Formats: sequence, structure tokens, C-alpha cells
Amino acid sequence: MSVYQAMVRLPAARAVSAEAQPVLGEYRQRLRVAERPVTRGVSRESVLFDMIYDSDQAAEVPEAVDHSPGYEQLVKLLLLQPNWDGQGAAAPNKAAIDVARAVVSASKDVGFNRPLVSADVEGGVATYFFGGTQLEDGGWSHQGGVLVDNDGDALLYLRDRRSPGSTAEDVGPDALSSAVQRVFRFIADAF
Amino acid sequence: MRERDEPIPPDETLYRWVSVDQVNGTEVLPHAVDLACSSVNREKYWDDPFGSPPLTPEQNGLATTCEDSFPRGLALNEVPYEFFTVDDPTEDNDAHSEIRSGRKPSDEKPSGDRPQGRKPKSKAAKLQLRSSLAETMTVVKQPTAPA
Repeated sequence: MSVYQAMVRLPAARAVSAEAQPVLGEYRQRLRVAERPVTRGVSRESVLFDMIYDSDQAAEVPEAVDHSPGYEQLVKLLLLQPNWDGQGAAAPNKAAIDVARAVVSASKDVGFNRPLVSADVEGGVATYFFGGTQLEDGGWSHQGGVLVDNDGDALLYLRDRRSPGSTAEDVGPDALSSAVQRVFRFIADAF
Repeated sequence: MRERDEPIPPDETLYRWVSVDQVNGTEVLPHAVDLACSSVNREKYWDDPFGSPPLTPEQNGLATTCEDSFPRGLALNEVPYEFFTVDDPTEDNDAHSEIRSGRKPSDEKPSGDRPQGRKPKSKAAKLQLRSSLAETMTVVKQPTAPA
């Protein structure tokens, strides 16, 4: 699956369904752009994220959206300012968030519905998944994910906490989906 | 502000603030450490780590490490790397110091990359170094989600 295809699936406003949740006021404000016309050659979702940056105000407000923890965490990251950690960290930029959005979408395709999406202290977005055995410290034995920096470059990360070391590999822009599938297999095989 | 006090003893505990989305159990995740310079607080100059107000509402947990626990024999693409500490007191934080990384000292360059540090060019290698450093850290005060 290409990056573009993954992005196309991302958060469009939809009709109310059994799983949909009411839109909170703050969230509603951010979603006001969802119904705007799409510029030729640009996906609706890219427009949405552009508009969040620009604090656009036009258009209708949907009554409800699909609830997705991963997307909600991404939206929060859009609002981070430099030095968000009190130690000089760079805020994630749009390049990082766009790619992380594709990672979250790909993760939904393989059944990872609750990723940990977090700002990287070096700038960028880290998306993690956990599984395997629950250890005495309350954490999970297997952790993996895709880390995207502010250049939009992605890295695969896999680690079994029961032994030292980790795997880190570059992920090409057309390989995000397969990278997420590798993380899924890494964690699924641990059960 | 106090004078710089180096070298930092290799067994001195160094504290780093962490948030709830930067840990898995007692282990710190690699995106929570900065390869260029991870800020830490020295035990020697920090009176009450567990009673201190959090750095930010989110950064309210603490992880510890020390130079003795830094990984040895790190080599990435056949280049030996190391982690080292730099004492760096600031006006508002006497305990502030930094963990940095760079190429190990060699015959050609006896100082290695100390004290400035240096990151490898390969992004995958950088992530491996970050993970190596994060693995040395142990969460001693679990962070909580801010109210």
C-alpha cells in the first residue's frame, strides 16, 4: 500500500453510527474543515490537517466522528509548542505528522487499534505497539513501532525487553504498511 | 550558580524526567532520550528528587541511570561509540548535567568527540544508540497522566 493510499483512509467526518461518539467542543472546532471542498490532487485529509494548522473557521460541523485514539493523539501533537517537554524539545512538524497519520492508518488495517502515539524529544512522532508477556514491572515484553522524524523519514523499531538490544531499520515511504505488519508479526509471535 | 564539577563519578545517580507516554513498565522508550544531549539531574546537587515539583505537568515521573551502566563496546557500522556525561549547571538548576554520545577516543583522535558529542549520520544507527541509552534507564517514580 502506498503512503497516499493509506492517507486517503484517514479521518473523514462520517454519519452517526453505533460506535461513533459525540464530538467535544474543542474537537468539533478542529473538525470544522472536514466538509470543505477538496483541492484537485490533494486528499481531503491533507486539507484537514493543513486547515488545523491555519485555524480555519469555515464550513459545517459534523455531529459525530469515528473515535480513534491514535488520531486523537496525533491531533494533540499538532498543538505542541517548541520546548513542550521543558528541556528544549522540538515540536513535531507537519511532515512528521502526515507520515505518522499513515502509520496509524496502516495499524488499524492490521488490527492495532490503540497505538501509543507520542512526540519525539528530537522532533517527530513515535508510534508504538506493545504485547507479548506482561512483566513484573507492569510493562510488556515486546515493544515495536515506527518513529518518524521532522524530515518525514520513518524508522522501524523492535525490541524484546527480556534481552538487551533492539532492531532499527530505515523504512521507505512506500513501505510504511509493511513496516507496521512487521511490528504486528513481531508482537503476535510473542504470544 | 555553582562551578562545574567534573568528572561526574561513574556511580553517581542521574535522574531524567519522563512522562507516561515515554515508558513501558520501568523501561524508558527510545524517543524519550535525545542523542545530542539528554538533560539529567545529578544526585549530588539535587536535594529531594522525589519531592521536587515536576518539570511539566506531563513530565512527572523519574528514571535513573549512571555512567557505570552505559553500554560498553558499542560499534555502529564499525565505528566505536560511547556515552559520556557533561556537568552543566544552569542558573535555575544546579543539578543539571547532560548525557552525550560520540565516537570513542582513538589514537588518531585522543579526545574522541568529547565534550561536544557527535551523532552518527545513519538514522537507523542513531535510533539504535538512543535505544541503547534508554535501556540503561530505570523508572523509579512512575509518571502519571496529568489531570
